[in-house]
Amino acid sequence: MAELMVPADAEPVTVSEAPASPRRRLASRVALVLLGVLVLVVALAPLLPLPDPNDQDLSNALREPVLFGGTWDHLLGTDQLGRDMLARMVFGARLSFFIAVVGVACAGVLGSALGIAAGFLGRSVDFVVSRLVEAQLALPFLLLAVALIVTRGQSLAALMFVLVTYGWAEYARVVRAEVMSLRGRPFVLGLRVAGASRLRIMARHILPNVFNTIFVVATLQVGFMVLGESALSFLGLGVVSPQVSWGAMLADGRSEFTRAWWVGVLPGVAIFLFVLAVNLTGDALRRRHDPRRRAYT
Amino acid sequence: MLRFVAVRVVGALVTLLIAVSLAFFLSRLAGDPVRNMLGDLAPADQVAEVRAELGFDRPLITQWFDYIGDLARGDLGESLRYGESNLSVVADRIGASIQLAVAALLIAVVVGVPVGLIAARHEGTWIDRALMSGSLLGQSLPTFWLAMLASLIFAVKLGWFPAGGSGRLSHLVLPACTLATLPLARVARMSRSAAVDVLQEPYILAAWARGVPNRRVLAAHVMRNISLPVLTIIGLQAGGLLSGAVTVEVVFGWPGMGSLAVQAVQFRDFPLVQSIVVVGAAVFVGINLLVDALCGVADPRVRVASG
Amino acid sequence: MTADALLEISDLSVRARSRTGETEAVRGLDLGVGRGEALGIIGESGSGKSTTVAALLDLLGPNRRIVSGTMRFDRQLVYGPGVDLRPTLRGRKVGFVFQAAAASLNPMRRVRSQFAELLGIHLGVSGDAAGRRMHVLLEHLGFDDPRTVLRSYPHQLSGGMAQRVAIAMALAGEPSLLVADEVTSAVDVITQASVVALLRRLVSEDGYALVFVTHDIALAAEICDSLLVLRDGRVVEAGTVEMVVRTPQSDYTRELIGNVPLLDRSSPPLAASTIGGTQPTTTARVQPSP
Repeated sequence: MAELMVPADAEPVTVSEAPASPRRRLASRVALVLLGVLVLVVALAPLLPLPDPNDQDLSNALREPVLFGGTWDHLLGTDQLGRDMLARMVFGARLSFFIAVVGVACAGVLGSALGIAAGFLGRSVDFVVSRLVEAQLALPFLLLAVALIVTRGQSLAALMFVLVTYGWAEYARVVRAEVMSLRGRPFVLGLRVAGASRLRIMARHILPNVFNTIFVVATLQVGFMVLGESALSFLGLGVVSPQVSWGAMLADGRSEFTRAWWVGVLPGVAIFLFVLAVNLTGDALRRRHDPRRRAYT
Repeated sequence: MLRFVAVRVVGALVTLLIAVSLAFFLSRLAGDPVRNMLGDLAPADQVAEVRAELGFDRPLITQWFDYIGDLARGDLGESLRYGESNLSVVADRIGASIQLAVAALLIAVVVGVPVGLIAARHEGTWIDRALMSGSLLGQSLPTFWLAMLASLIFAVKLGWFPAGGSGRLSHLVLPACTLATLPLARVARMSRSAAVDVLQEPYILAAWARGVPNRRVLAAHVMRNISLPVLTIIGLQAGGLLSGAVTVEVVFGWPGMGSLAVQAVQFRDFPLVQSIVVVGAAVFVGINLLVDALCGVADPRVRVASG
Repeated sequence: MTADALLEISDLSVRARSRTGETEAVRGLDLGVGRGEALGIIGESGSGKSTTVAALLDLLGPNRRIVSGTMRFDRQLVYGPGVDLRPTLRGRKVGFVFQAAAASLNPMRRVRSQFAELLGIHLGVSGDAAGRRMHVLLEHLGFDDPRTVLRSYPHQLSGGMAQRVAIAMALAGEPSLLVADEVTSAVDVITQASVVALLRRLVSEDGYALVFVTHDIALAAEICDSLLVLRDGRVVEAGTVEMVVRTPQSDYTRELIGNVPLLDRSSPPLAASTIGGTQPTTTARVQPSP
């Protein structure tokens, strides 16, 4: 599943992508706007006039969304326990985002730090970090998740732990490559000669230069984290009720599908559109920051 | 040539060793397996007793040592739930997973490569854009959702295929197609890129000049020459395939390692879970090794020294 | 135009599209070459010489198009209003040899398979019959050890060998006209001489018609019977070698010739007479594949 989010340039082969047609660029821009709106909605969720996502109302169970025969007070219908779908979607997004953002931040910091250290300090540090990265990448996401949750049990913290341990490796790999190419640049050598300590160079000079790369990876990783969390919640290993996430909603929707398709389809559509938007944005960002280079190998 | 392979094999084993150890330490770091097994309400002395029984009270390093030693001898421990050796439990289920994975990969390649070639041949036209947009959509679909939809539309509503279980070919179709979607999209994309590159090479123009018909150029020259990049990307799909298989197996009730893993977690069967991780990592590393070796063999410039 | 001209091109004009607009790559070109004859097309880069031969085989690509002209091959109209039989020429009637020979071969396939493919397509032969043909052809082109060459991959061949293999593949379909596009530009002098000698032999002994495209007028004069000088898409000089060299009509031609010592057609080509020793044999260079 991680392969979904790895930038295409990470393949060790030159890739000549279709040049961005105007349609593609428009799509990317639309995607970006949609994402922005989503973030806004999610951030303002508690202030919006939405019913409590956990409010059960069995007399109102399995109502259709408004365009399919339902009423306006439940725009997207209700699930089998009468809970409002729209509210659940919004609050689900809120939790998913929170997890994703925190996950990306932690994985990003950890991975980038290790990547910079490996790329800049070289030799033994590089050796150790590279072996760790290879080993980490050899553990497929769901298997790793399963291994960690079996000891920790299911919880938000466990979920975060899983995401971070999976995610850091990609940052480390990509950042390391970038730093290694930076290492030989004249300005770095100049700083060394001038007596700047290596730590200082890494923090104040290398880091700002790789920030673009980190940002691109982070963008794509957000999508991955949402997917990963959804998958785990879907399997019953992620978010625990009463907390709501899109993945958990999907799991709920599975049993109701024949009677009430919207309970399972809507969260899925949401995840799909979100991932699509992230992919398009990530593509566009990548194109902007490194036109034809194989920057990620 | 032999050295090439030997070096790679050793490297793969080292990676596997570190990966397994990493999983070992991380899972201990994440929490306490014993407490999780027995639940929060278990009295402390019972926890201590079980811990001693299972050997979890020893220093971590010692545990690790023993663990690696056991692995080297092929001893994966015993499942708490089944009471048999983990190796046999896993061995029972691994066949089904391999079946699923191979089927999915076959579909991905058999459909994906021609799609990419067609897109490359019609580069820039609506066909190209349509196919590549399709692949972008395919890459964005969550596998588990697709599995759900496929199961519910094709099995329940339309009744074309069974909704779950295994045993006959018809049981394999839906899960394999679902699992194939993501790799297919990526293979198609990569095939297109590689084909576009190859089509610009001088020897393609030369083949045309020598009178080789276009269809043959595509089939014999372009396809042969994109095999390397396509092989590489198949290797990169391995991890995603293993992960994706878990959800697909669960949704379709496919009796493979993925669904076994989920059940094992639900049963807090720590030793079994650990064994599955080891086997999964070994498979991943093995696939990468195979792809690496095949790449080395496929490129004559690597395989045969220059004159 | 001689009466038995194999290839006749009349009034060919080609337009090329670039970022800045359209230019005329070739303007009102006439040429003719017969069996057993060698025609040299001379010009600098951008003169239209490569465009002309590309037009002959419909290899112009999306940015160039023919705006006028007719082409006849063996008296039959192959290009004209409502007629375009040029694809049938490729390989079967006209053999094309590229400048960078090694690059014109598929690096992932052995010589044998690429060669046999052409035999299958053009002559319908395969298996042993194809094998024999390949051997015969390669020996005819001066290879002592065709088997090793056939078994090799392109990257295992030296520059000269690759060039000969490319010529062999151009001849595979039994064409009657051979087009050599700057085949000597990328090789060393010794290889150049042997390739040129080979081409001359194919013309004089085997009766092929040859169109030899180059920027080197001296070289062309050595092996060709008639010359066509192009400049900016226009023919500025045409005629037999003697005519062009001794009495050039245009200043441009004079310039091209001017820097070259007086040509003496009676003496044999340079390499064979002044540099002693024999041509290196092909066997020494190729390593059999494991």
